[in-house]
Amino acid sequence: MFRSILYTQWKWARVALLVIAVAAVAVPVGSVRAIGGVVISTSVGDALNTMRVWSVLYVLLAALAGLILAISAWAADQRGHHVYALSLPVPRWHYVLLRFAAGLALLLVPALLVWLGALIASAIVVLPAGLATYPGALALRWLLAAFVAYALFFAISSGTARTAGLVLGVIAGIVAADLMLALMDQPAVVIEFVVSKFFEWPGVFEVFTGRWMLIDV
Amino acid sequence: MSEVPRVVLSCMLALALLGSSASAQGVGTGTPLRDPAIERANATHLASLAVDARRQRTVADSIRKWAQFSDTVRDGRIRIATTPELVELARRIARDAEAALARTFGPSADVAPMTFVMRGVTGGNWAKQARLERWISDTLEGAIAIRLQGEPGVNGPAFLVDGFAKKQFGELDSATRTWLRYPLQPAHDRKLERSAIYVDIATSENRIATECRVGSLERCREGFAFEQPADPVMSWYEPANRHRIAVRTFTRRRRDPVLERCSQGDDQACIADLRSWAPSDLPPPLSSSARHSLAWVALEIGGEGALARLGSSTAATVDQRLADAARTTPEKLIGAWRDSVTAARPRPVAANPGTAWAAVVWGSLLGILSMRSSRWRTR
Repeated sequence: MFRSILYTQWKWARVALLVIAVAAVAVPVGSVRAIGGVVISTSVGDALNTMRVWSVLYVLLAALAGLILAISAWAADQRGHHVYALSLPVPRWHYVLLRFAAGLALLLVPALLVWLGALIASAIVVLPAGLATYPGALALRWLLAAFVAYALFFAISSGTARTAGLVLGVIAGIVAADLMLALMDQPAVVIEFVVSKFFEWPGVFEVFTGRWMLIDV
Repeated sequence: MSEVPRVVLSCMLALALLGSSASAQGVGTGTPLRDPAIERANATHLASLAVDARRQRTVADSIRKWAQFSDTVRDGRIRIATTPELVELARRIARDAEAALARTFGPSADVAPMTFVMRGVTGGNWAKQARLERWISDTLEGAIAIRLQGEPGVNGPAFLVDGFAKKQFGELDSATRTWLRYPLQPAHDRKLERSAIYVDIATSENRIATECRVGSLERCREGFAFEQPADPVMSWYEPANRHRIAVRTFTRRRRDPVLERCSQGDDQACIADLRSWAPSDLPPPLSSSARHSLAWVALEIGGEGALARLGSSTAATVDQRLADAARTTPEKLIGAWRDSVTAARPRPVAANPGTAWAAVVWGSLLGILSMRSSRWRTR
């Protein structure tokens, strides 16, 4: 059953996956080309700044891969009002688990391509002393970030409209609380607090922060 | 408010003096001046009285200016003289000031009472404002003038800390000031600052900086350039550095034939060009930020009174003065600096185990949540 679910999810997501796969190779190779290719043509500091600019693309790509795979996993079920899922002779959690695992398996493809692209980029560049490449670490970090993004969007997609409304309500409540504080001439710290909890360890988005640089000190 | 009587008194005094001088000269009395000798004597006397009157007017004017700082706020060791419209802000700043100073300078900051004179910038004549600030500093001995710009309510204590840092900088000897180049800047995140210095050194193309990073304390000392070498162009740089530094100015000095040759790879031309530069324009192997971080390490190690020791040290060299502040030797201080910068090395992309575990746990948790969605629950 897992194979058939994997196959159907592959069929639904393959075009988007192909685009992500191309980007997964192109981003690391492109980042190295941006600093001059084989020999770094800019100053080392400028090269690092360029790497920092390109690092945003890894984060975006991870989030995008997670989003596309999660949405494509549920799109057909949502169109069919989950009739197919409900007609299967398996517990529903089992069905969700199979969908989740199939998406994860598909996520390995772009992660491997990020690694491959980073390896190619590392192989073609000659670095000055003090700098090093991190292809394996970059690919691992990308996989972890894409996994978190995928799980988050998967949970949102599998939930009901009521759950989505609840989440949106909580977000609106946080913004409203900050506005109220601002109106009362108090420091508006609610959003800041919540964001820090999400983006600082052990927050859910902490894996997206930090230096995502293929070439670093 | 206590200054108002002084203003009134001075004005009265000035008027009285003017009146008396006028009366002494018979101004308005219609007395004719007949004898030329008396006329000359009277003219001389009048001139001297006019000078006196101007002097008195300056005093009265100064007192009037001072009168605008009519409110004084005290909190602990902090005293802030300010204008009535800023008094509430001054009170808040004074309340937070000691903590802000302690956060910035640690126990190295002086424990003696400190007086600040605080005024807002309301546009207008900058030269006049600068004169007024100089006057304030001169009049109230030891007072630190702070000028609030922009939205002072947001980071009031930062202005105070900044003013304190500038004052401390001004009290350092000229060699240390020249070496530091600008006042020690209060930093929000010292680790982040050192992390940037690590990147700066790690990516430096200067051999001295590279060897310093690798571990040579002697090279670090050389890189800090406590004393300017006889020929920094040859001592500090390799041909590639010389070429890069010289051609930075190529755009605006395109017609310079020496620089032209340098840009084409002639090292002798680069040497000749750089030797024509003012010594202070030659970038040292370790940047001004690195120098500042060394000074901060000295203050941290020195602890209580370190800032005062730095100001009062009479050692012959800057490194020894910093070491005096830190109560250690220059070698140990540079070693501690190198250790602190190395420890602040930014973590590359590699996810540490904590981050990896957090991602796995969050991903799994969200996956489990999907299975527990109300859509799937049996009613």
